[in-house]
Amino acid sequence: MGKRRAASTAFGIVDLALAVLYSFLVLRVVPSRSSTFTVVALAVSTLLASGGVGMIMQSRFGLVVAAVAATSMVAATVTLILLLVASAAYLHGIYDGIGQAGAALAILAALLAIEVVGLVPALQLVHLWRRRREWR
Amino acid sequence: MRARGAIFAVAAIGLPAALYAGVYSWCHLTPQPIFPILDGPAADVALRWLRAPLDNVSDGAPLLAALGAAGQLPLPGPLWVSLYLRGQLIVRHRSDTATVGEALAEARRALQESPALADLDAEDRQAARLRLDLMTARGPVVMGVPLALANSFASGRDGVGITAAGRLAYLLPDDLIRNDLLAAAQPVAFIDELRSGLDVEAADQALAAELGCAVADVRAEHHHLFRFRVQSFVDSPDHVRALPVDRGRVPVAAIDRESLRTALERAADYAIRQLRWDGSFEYIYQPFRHAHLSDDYSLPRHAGTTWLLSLAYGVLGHARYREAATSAIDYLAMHAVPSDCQATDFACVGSNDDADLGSAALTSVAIVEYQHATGDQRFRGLAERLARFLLHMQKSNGDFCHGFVPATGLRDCTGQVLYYSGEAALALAKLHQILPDPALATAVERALDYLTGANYDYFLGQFFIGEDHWTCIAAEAAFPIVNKDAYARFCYAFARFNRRVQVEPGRGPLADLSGAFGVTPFFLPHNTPAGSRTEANVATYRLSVLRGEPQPDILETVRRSLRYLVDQQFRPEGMYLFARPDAALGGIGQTPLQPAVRIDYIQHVAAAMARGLNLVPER
Repeated sequence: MGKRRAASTAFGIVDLALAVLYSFLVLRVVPSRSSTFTVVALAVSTLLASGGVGMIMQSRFGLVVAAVAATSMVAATVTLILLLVASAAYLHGIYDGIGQAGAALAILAALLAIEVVGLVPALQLVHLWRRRREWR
Repeated sequence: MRARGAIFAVAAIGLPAALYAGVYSWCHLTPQPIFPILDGPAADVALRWLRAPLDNVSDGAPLLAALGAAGQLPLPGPLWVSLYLRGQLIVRHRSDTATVGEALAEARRALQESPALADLDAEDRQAARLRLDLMTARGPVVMGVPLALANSFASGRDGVGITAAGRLAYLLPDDLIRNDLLAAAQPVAFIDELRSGLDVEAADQALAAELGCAVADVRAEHHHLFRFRVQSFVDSPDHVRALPVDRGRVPVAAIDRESLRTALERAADYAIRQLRWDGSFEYIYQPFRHAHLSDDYSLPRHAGTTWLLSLAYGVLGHARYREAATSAIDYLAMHAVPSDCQATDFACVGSNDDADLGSAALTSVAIVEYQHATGDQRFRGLAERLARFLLHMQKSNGDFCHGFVPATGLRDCTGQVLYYSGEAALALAKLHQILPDPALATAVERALDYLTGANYDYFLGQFFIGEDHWTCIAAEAAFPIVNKDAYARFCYAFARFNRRVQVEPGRGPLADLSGAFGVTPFFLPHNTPAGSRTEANVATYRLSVLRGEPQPDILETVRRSLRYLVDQQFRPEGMYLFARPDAALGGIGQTPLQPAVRIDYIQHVAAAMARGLNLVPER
């Protein structure tokens, strides 16, 4: 039980760190010209931070918030990958091919999306699934 | 459990695959079954027939009889006839009729009745060029994401259309090229140099002008934007044939030694035309506006272009190249050696505050080539003093300090400038050809040891090669002095890298640019690297021959890129968008769609042609 609680706290800290990192990336490193993108990215960061707080507090409500946040992040990853697929298909249709660099960048972006956005939430969901009995 | 896994696997693969196929089929331009609409002979007939009002000749055979079955072909979209005179659009008519014959007849009537045409004198009529565009397909573009919209048009091939204010407006690919609307969008906010795609705001303005409405009206109808593709022809300068046009140029299918020689002569003559009274060059030429720019004049590029003139003299033997080279070297000797470097036993190139390695290196190369080609030794003294400077600039590890302050006599080893060390290695090797000093031989060896060895002696260095064309040109020039396996292996690897990124004929979206070096159609290849890498590949192939191990793959790479360079050169058949075709003839633009010419574009491309001439079959 102690190990799982410690793992939850660790996930919470990682969530908070990722929320700060995403906000920093969106606001400072690669600012988008699209305010919609910025708002959505900040909303995701806020949700992730809420989940992080929930994981650290480890109340029933907090863990539910964390589960919602992690599920949203996994859904966002799937959406991101589908958008990448659609973008690659679109550019392929426009240019009759996307070239070696285009293909490599699309695959790299998909892998990065999984690693940076989806991996931690997926592991977190597995962890929360294992702790679900404590809530009952 | 197993069934659930199978469903997941099918969804994981099937959903993206279905999405990909759906999006692709939605946006891909499917050429009409009759594409190409006109074949060459039919296009010849069509353009000659359209031109009759300009030439004041009788109609000859009726159009439909001359066109044959082509005249009855249905048109999938509009047909445009445009008349260009020295880059200016004089008349354009769009026909929306059902068949080719009807559209051509309507276009000719419009030409005959055009007041602008009536104002042209005989000389203008002879100089004017007709262009024929036939829409072959149109397709949708995405809205709402500015970057996606900007990149929704294949550069140079797609036009932009919109339905607004109850009417249709089109910007032909030519319109986008000559208004510099391509390679204009900036995908990453903080990288100003990285540009790709359509300048949507400027395109909106042009469409609004076409429709005679406000830009806001066009923006409000953005959801009615579309792209379209055309089959295009321009009449030949003698107005006898219809020449196919792709991305604003008339393509060259193949070259032989004679056509390459012609291209070299045109390029060298272009360089001569840039020479000013004092021996410096007009730095940048903008063919659309016939305007010259000389901001940020570069002495290394001046020296490199001077080298080209001597190379051209050596290959072609025309006295005008020798005279131009003399004048350009005189400029360097009289204006570019600062006063603080005039009383010393060495000579530097630059100003009293700032001299640099690259300027001195390429000045040396230009002088040696000049002496080699002409036998004239008037600049030998300057070469000797430059050699002492280059030796002084070499560091203990074989690399070089790239800066020098003549006022203090101190080397500045703090910064590294791309190319300078390779240029210095080449200069030392070339200088040894006229100054058989053992110190030069030792210095060349140390420089090449560094450039092909220690320069990449770190973890990531094993995975890539930089722009090392000068290194490989130097390795070949140094062969009589020092022949090491390591140099050849390095240059073979550089050539293999070039080969991997070379656009192959008949494959992929850039097939019309085969021979260029590029990896994605979003950013069109630049012509200068095509020139400089070809120079390097020529040198590497020659090195392989000298070593008794000729590399056929490198030879093939060279031949492909030389075809590309000839294809990209401004030739009489093209240039109908230029204000002064006679002034632009022989020039090379920055990219296939950006025709501004800087002197180093000519330097690299023409030097590749000069040095690769004998590697191209006579027939």
